[in-house]
Amino acid sequence: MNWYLAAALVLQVALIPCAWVCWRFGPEHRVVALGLAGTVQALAILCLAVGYREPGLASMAVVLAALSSGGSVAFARFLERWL
Amino acid sequence: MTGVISVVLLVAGLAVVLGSCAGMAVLDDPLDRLHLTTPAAMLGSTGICASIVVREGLSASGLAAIGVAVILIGVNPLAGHAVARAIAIRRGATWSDPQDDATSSAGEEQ
Repeated sequence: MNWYLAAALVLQVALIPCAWVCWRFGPEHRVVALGLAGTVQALAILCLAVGYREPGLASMAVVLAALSSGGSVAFARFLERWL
Repeated sequence: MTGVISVVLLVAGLAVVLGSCAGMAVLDDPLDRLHLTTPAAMLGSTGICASIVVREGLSASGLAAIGVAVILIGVNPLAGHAVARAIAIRRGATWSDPQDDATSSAGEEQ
């Protein structure tokens, strides 16, 4: 195990508080926790890509970073108008 | 030397992200929690992505790291604003677009 795989593991542990907030609190809290979880997960995939030496996986991190941010905005719109 | 710098940047970025996630569990208000997404997206991503660029150089992984950092740093303030706006509106705040106000006041003048 190299440093980047260990970092990816630590980042997965960092997702636990976000999951707890999504589980226990209301929609306003959930959308905030989801935004942070998307950021953490994009960084975790990037660390996995470097740790396993798979550059293709790093491209997936770029896509996830873009889509999770866009998803947060979309969820915020839904929250504002309909939920 | 490059390896040491890379590890230091990685650990610094991880510490920021871990702090943000721990704060997510500690704070109560969603707007307070929203403040925690910024350090993770700005400082955390900068530290981790800089660590990868220092280690890998401008390879495919290094360029992807730069891309992730640019996206997170560029889009996170916009997403944070959208979420804060949604929360404020759900709490009963009135939110008007200045452009709409200018249009409606021009219509009233006519």
